[in-house]
Amino acid sequence: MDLNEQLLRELSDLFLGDLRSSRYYQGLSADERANLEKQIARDAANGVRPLVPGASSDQIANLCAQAEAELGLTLPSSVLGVLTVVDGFVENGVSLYGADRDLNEEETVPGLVAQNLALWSSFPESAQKYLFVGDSELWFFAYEISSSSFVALSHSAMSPVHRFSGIEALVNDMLAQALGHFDEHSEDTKGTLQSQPPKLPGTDFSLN
Amino acid sequence: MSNPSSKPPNAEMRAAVDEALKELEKLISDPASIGACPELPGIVLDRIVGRALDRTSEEYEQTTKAYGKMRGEYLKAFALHPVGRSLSLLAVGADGVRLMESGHSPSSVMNVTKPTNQPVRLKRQYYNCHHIIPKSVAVTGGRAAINHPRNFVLVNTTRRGRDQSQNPHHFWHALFLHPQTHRTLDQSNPIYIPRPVFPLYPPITQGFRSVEGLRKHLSALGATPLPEIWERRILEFSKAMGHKPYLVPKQFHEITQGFGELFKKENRDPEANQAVRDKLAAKAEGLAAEWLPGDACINGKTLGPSHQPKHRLPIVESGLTTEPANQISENKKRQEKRVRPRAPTQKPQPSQSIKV
Repeated sequence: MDLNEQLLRELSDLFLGDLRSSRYYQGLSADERANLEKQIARDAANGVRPLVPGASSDQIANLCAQAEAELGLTLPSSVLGVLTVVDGFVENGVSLYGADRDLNEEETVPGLVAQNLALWSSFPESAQKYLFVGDSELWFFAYEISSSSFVALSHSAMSPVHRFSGIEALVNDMLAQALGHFDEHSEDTKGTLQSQPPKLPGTDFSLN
Repeated sequence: MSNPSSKPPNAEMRAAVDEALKELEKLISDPASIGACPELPGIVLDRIVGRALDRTSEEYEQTTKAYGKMRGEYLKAFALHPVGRSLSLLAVGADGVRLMESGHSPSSVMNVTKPTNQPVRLKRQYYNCHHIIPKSVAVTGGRAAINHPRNFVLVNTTRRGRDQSQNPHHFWHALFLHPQTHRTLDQSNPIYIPRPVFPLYPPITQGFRSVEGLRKHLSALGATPLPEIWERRILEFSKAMGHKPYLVPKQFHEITQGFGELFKKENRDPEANQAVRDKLAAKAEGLAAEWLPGDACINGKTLGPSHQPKHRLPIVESGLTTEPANQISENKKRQEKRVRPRAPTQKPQPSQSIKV
């Protein structure tokens, strides 16, 4: 399964709309606005999805080093592969963590290493058991280290309620939740742990 | 600012939002209590008796599903309520209210980041909707009490790297809720719930030293004036914060610093790993005990009658565990897909250009 490029483009379009309708944007001078639009156009011309870019190879290398040093973990290649396509996002209460930034850089999405340190320290039973890759108002999304699989965890129990076929399925589901794409078939999905992902059209987990 | 593409919220949700705001108004009588603990301004500990649910239970699953269906409707109804709308404008600004009107969690664009040779990205502030009494706790009123606007709060969950200072929900969960609901299955215990006296937390993004200043700001936002009870609460909150934006105290959002040692390679074997978890658990228990009274139960153990908390938050018994007057029917309504917002055709007047 691949990441759903259509959903990523939709997210990018929404963010562009949010930016242009924001008080911040309206408060920019004409020159500042033109300059910003020029930079966004340049990103698009360079093959970068506007406002929802992937991480650069340098950012990925830094992230790997930080994870080794601070989490004692080698990040799965599948996680790194996804981050090169989409370096995190936050929309409608759904957050995919991105590559942590250096201290002198501004964060725009929650950093993967920082979030894991925060969650491990607050929920000790999860430490080095799960690598958290994202969260929503209802779930944590994580890589279960012992089974090398991707799961949705109950917020309060930190126990798996769903197992995904891979990180791409997990991120596609997060995107669907963030954007509000649902179909009635997802109603049938049980919140209980399943050994195999259900064969449903559209989203396969979203209960939100 | 209304969103014509979105269906209006139903009457029962509007009535439930109104009930929730009226219950909040009754929660404290003295607004001065808002500043009792500067670490947690505007928070009371609501003593309830509940039982932690088995998270694989049917009840837990149904509560979760029902919440997913009603959340969008709640956000719309809250943004439409006269008091809810003014409080929302104060906390999340016009950009956030626009998203709430379409049934989505509010966020507002603060600025953009444009590091050299890197793509442009949005820097935003995010508020998410959360249950006050966790959905993993069974109470007298059951799901009707848990999935109700009087049990919802919109909380800032903005995270910037190691800095968790704008993530009070994580702070409340880690400090109070997780230690009290962990390892307590099948036991009814007193649980001290951190309950904000505001429906959005923090309620303001800037300080207000006078009621005139607050009213002027609301007017500039195009909001209707707030009833006096809310004005007084906002002013007390601002005073408790020294008229600055609220941040989770450093000692809590920086506890993640220096944990690298604990997770180094030598701690990967199962025995050392368990020792790391035990160390973390002891730290979390110790922090919770500094705030909770003697009959509180942490990790399955009651603190005991001789226990004296170091910090004293106001304790209330709201009674909001019973069935609400305006119940929400669990219909098939789901969140709506959000449409791309259109840019305003006119630049706002200077008096409306409020940075949030």
